[in-house]
Parts: sequence; C-alpha cells; structure tokens
Amino acid sequence: MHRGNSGQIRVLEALLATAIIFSALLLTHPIYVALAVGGDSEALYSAGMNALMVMNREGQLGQLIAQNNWTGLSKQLSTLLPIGVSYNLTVYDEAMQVVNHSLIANGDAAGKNVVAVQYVLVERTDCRFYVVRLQVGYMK
Amino acid sequence: METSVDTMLACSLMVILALSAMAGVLTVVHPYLQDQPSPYDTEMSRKLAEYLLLETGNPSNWGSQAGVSLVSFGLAKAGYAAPFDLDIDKVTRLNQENYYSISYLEAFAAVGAQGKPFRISVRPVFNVSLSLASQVSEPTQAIYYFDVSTKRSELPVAASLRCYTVLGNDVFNASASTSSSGVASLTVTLPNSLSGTALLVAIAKVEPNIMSYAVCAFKHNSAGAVQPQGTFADLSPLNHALRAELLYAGMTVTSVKVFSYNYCFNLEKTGESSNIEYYGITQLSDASPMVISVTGLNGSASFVEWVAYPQVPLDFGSNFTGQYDVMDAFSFHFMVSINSAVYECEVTMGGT
Repeated sequence: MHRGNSGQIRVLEALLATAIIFSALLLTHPIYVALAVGGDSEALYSAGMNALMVMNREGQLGQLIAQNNWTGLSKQLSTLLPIGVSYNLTVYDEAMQVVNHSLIANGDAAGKNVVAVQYVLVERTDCRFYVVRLQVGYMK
Repeated sequence: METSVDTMLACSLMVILALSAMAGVLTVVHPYLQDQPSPYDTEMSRKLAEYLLLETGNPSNWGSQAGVSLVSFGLAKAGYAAPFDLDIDKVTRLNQENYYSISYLEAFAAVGAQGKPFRISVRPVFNVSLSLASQVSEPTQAIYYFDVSTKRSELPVAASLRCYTVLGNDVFNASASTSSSGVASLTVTLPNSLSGTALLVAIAKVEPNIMSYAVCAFKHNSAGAVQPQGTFADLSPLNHALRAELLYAGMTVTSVKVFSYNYCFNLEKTGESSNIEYYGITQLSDASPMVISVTGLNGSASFVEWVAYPQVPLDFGSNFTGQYDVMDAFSFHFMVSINSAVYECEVTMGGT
C-alpha cells in the first residue's frame, strides 16, 4: 500500500464503521415498535374475549354456529367490537376442521398488529364442541 | 507524520459521525420513550377497572339497600353466572339524578386505591333518536310521523323497535325496524278525543340482547310547549320499587306504567307519605331496559314524567379536569350485561 493512499483507506474504514453503527440503530427499531404496540395487544385481546363472552352468554354463539348463520355472527361481532377494530373469525370443530367455509371478517388484517383470541364453547342443543379463533387488529 | 494526521482525521470523523447518529436517533426516539406508559401501570389500571366490574362489593347487596354503608365498591351482581354481569341497582345508584345515588367520594373511599381516581360511564351500545317529522290532523284523529335512527358512533345499525305512545291512561303500540342504513319511519295515530302531552317510548334491540331506548314527548291537541323532564316529579327507581316525589302541591298521579321490549303494564302503588308515592316494579325476565312513565294532573293540566331502570346512560366519578388528574389516565371499554341486556361500560383510571 502506498503511504499516500493510507489516509483514504482510513476514511473508508471510518465510513464503514459508521454504517455499522447506523445499521445497529436501525435494527433496534422493532423494539420501539414492540414497545408501542404492547398495550394495544392487551386491549385487543380483552375486547375480543369480552365480545365472545357476551355473544355466548345465553348460548347464542353456539346457536349461530350450529345454524351456519355466518352473516348473523358477523353482524353481532361488528356491533360488539369497538369501532376501528377489524376481525377475522374462524370456527373449528372437535377435529379442528374449519366449519365456516365463508369468510367472517370485516377487513384485511395483513400488516397489522393482530391478536388471536381462542374461545372454546359447547353448542347447547346437540352438545357439540367448537373452537372459535378470533383475530382482531386495529384498522389503520 | 502524514499517517498520524490521516489516522487522527479518520478517527475524528468516525467519532463525529457516531455521535451525531446517536444524537439524531435519540432525538427521534426520545418522545416515544418519554410518553411510553409503563406496562405495569397500564396493566394495574386494567386489573383495577376489571375489579370494579367483577367484584360485588361489600355488602354484596349494597345496591338494593340504600341505608347500608359501603365497605368496598364493586358493581357485579351477587352470585353472577357470567363475568361482567352487573347489578341493576348498583348501576342505578351511580346516576346522580337518582334519590338513592352514592357520592363519588363514598365510592372512592370504598375502592381503597388511594391516588387512583376513576370514572365509570355506562351507556347503551348504540343510540336511538326520535324526531317528529310531520303531522296530519284529521277530523277524528291526528297522525304523527317520526323519523327514527339507530346509530353507533354515527355508523348505522339495523335494529328492531317496539314503540309505545302514552297519553293519559292510554297506550298505543307500534313496532318498526330500522334498515341497514339505520333509519325508519314510524307512524303514531292518536284520537282527537284525547289531549295532553304524549310520550313516545321506543325500545330497540340488536342481537344478542343489545338494547337501547329513546323517549320523545310531544303535544297532542293541546297548546304550550313540552316541559323538560323533571319539571313535575323526581322519579327514582331502586330495588324494584319506584319513588315518585311530586314537586307541586295538589298534583295527582293517574297512572304509572312500565315498558320493556316485550311487555307493558301498570304499576301498583305500595305506599305514600306526604308528596312522595311508592310503586312496586315487577321483576321481568325480559332482557330489556324498563322505561317507567308517570302521568297525572297538576291542577287541571296533565303532565307526564319518565325514568329508565336501570337509570342509564350515566357518568360517575372523577371528571379528570383537576391539575393532578390529567396525567396518565387509562380508559378501558367493556361490554357488560344488566338484567341480561348488553350495555357498554367505559372505566377510566387515573394515575398519581
């Protein structure tokens, strides 16, 4: 290496080191995002679970599933969940096979902080078990 | 010598860049970190809010026993079968218009969480509004056309409605449904043989037992303006009894009726002392708010008053406008049931 080029090499080293530091700082960004949405997750889970409990207070949720009344189920969820919350609901039977073959949702949850609420219920007429998985996220 | 200068310049550049990067990132991130509520505070506030709705308080029947002193505060119904099942009388006593209401200071002391002011709001999940659009007078009757709308946060809700029009001792029934756009038209026909202030009561339902109501007073065959609620009598329901305090001497009550989604019937007088009358309210299995109307005469003029049981909507507690209250307030929403009907409850917990 020529002595005249060594200074330029060191400047390049400095730039490389700086790039490494910036990269490290950029990589820490998800931590701040996680901090910001931590409280949201609790609130979303609480809202989702609360809605499902209210819907099934007198067994109506089981009845709607047994009747395949997905429109009614979707309407009730839309009313019970807070404004601005999108959802996607899937119903499974005892064998964990999907029962609802039509979409029960009110928006696209892709790219959002989505919380899944799992709720097990018994349909009271025929004593069938269902697992309801409700995914909720804030609309943005 | 030349290498040393290069090295020093390179090192200086690296340090300056690193420091400026750190300063830049800190400037950007600092507001987020500064305003980030502690997860512990949030969680503690949430648990405390849930505690208010899941505990019965002590004594567990403090809602229906107006004379007892409150040891601990909680709104849950004694022996509840499902979470967030609230006691109709405990909720009613939060309404400051009720004669038996408890004060915020009494509740705050009974909660026992010093430095945690709170506010509780209970209201129907959606709103019903009634407005008189037009009226047609005919020789023997008058026809009133009402616009009905059912909305939740200004978004339309389709609901089923049961409507009752009270005029004197008579009740006229009607039913309607709002469309998916949340509107409906309601027609009320009243005979011209009657006159006075009529009361239109609309009780709306959205499955699963999400209930709301609206009341609209209007004049039929009589002059003058409709008097505001509470002009003639103070009505306070509690423990399935109605306390009606008549505000003017010489007033007489001619009928007391209760309206729910599926039922409508008269209430019987159970007691009387000077200007206060008591009426028993039959316990209903109907998952519905009850609207109680009191009609009577003030001299020769008729009057009508009404009250809802449970007495919602209501706001109870700190208004968070004090200089120490505006910091760190956490608000939590819950769907609760009162008398099997679903309402929305917002609990706001303040911090120190």
